[in-house]
Amino acid sequence: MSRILLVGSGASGVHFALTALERGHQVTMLDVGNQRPAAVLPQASFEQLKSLLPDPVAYFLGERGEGVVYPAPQGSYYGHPPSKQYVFDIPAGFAARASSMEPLFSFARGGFAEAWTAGAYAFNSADLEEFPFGYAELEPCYARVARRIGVGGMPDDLERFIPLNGEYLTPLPLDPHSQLLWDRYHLRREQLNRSLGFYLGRSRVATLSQPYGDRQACTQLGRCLWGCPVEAIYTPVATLRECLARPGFRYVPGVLARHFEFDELGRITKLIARRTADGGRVEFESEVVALAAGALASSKIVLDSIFRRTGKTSVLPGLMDNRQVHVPFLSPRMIGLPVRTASYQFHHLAIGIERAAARDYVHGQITTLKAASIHPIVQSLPVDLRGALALFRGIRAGLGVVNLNLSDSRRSDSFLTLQPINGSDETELRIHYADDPAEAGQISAAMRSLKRALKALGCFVPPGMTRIRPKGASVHYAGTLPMSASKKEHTCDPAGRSHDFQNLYIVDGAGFPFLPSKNLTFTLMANAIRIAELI
Amino acid sequence: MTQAVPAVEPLAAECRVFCRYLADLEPSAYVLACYQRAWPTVPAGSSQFLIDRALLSVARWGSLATRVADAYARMFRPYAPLRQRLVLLLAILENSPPSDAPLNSAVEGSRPAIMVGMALTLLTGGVCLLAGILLLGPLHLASVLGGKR
Repeated sequence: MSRILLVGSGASGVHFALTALERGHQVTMLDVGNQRPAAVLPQASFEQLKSLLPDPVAYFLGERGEGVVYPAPQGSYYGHPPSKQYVFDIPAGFAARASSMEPLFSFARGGFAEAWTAGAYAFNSADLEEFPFGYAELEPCYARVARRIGVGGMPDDLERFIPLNGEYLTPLPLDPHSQLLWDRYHLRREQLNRSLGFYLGRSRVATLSQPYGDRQACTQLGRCLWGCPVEAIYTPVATLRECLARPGFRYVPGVLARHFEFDELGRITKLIARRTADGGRVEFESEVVALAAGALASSKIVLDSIFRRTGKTSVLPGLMDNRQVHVPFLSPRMIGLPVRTASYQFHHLAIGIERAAARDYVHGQITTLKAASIHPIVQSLPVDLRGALALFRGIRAGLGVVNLNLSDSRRSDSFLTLQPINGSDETELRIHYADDPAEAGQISAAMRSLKRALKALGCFVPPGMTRIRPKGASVHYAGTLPMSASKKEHTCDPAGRSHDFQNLYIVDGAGFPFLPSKNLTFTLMANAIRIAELI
Repeated sequence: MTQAVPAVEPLAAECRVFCRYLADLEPSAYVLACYQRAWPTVPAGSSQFLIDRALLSVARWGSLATRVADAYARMFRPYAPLRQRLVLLLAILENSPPSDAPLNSAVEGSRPAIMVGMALTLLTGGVCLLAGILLLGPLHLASVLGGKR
């Protein structure tokens, strides 16, 4: 039995903690822990909120309109709602600067997965080719995650890319637009598979179609983006509650882990943190330290620790992030049909586009438009706003968006380093993400296949409305302290143990040596369980 | 970016015109208060460019003029203060009763009829854009060529 000091309460942290507790270890979890505000009117639908709340504009747009998506060169079809601002708030004492990307950070209780869209896709053997272990080692961990969090899914054409592991829940019922796409796909399936390598299936999502543990099934309120008030969408806070109910677990919120001190043998002796309330210094001692603060924040702790002991600013190469492309489409057959805003808002369908090399597989999710903030969409139509509103209402039932994800690999010109801040004890994380010269070609090829596939499904992709999201927008950061079978500086072994510090474990995405196009959160959780089993 | 809030009455008058343009209704006291509350955080609430000031001036004449100015701005000044303010108001209206219901609904019924309606909308938009080009184009061109703000 070990005493483990764990940093971070996100998807990786809570599943690592719960597994370690199940194995009899003692776990102290340090966390900034920005807290989710209480759900407002938990039984009210998206539309009902507007008439029931005393100040609906403040809820949906923020007190000062900070949730408004204004016209801008790199406009988006949606923004982060004010109710999710706590997910992205950065505490005093954490500084970072990026070039060529717009990274986000999360210091929330539950981490980024407080604002995820619940996609739970297992990596397959091809995705894990660069990992120092195979799919067989991860499969039972996926099954455990699925049991813990409740994942909806079913056998379908995506199984060739996304293995189903263990017991999955019945998926949520399809909305009419998704049903239309599903039906049309099955009419043209062979042609789409054979000529385009295009496959469609049900999204694997950690959203409940039936009560599960202390969480309720989806009540179809249409409030997913603003935060599910009944917790039908899994967030790590649910697993944190399980940890809190176990002896041997101690949760310490309100502290920002800064760096650790280590001896000449590379053994960590203590971890130094800062209280967020008053900036005071706190120290923690432990036999084992596990970092699960997210790839960027965990890497900063490592860089800071090396700098404070040696005066050396190290470089951690290999930063990765999935590039995302939003492709709006229109299904003319849906025009004239009603739209039910009180329904599950996120994606029901997922797509896979096969490429010549398995590692270049393109993953996507199809979200049909139901409840939504309409102003970001209306302003993007190529006419005046009054005309755009009329057009939008005419085509609304047939609108949808495909969110395409591209894989990323470690490159030496995408890296993290540290910059001391003059005249203070502080340091700033420097993030540099270089353009991938192959990316433009990959996006073009994926877009060609997707447009042809959507056409075969009876959809139309309006010209000029596809948006390549800014680098860093997917928040799938990984690769800066990768697992490696051979002992190299700034890497960890297949069990997640650092090659530089003998009692340090890297539990989050920093340890991934490759980033497939599938959303990584499910694998973060499974890998965290795997690492906890090996301690 | 925060900026000085103009006097309440001009802002309210602007809000009334824009509200009629976007939703065919008079703004409630709540909508007026929200518009005023959020106005200082509009990223480009004001501008030193002559064309941007002209777009706002024309738009304040009435809802038809707003549409003409907006049609021109959508094509030639998509991030102008006029567009930013209209988008702010649209965001407020879609979240406040009673305008939220019609703005958030879809047109239901016969598909051909809806398509014809949308074609007419596009045609009207085109006419407004043409009017905007005739009204604001020369000023815009002159200010660009003359290098004036």
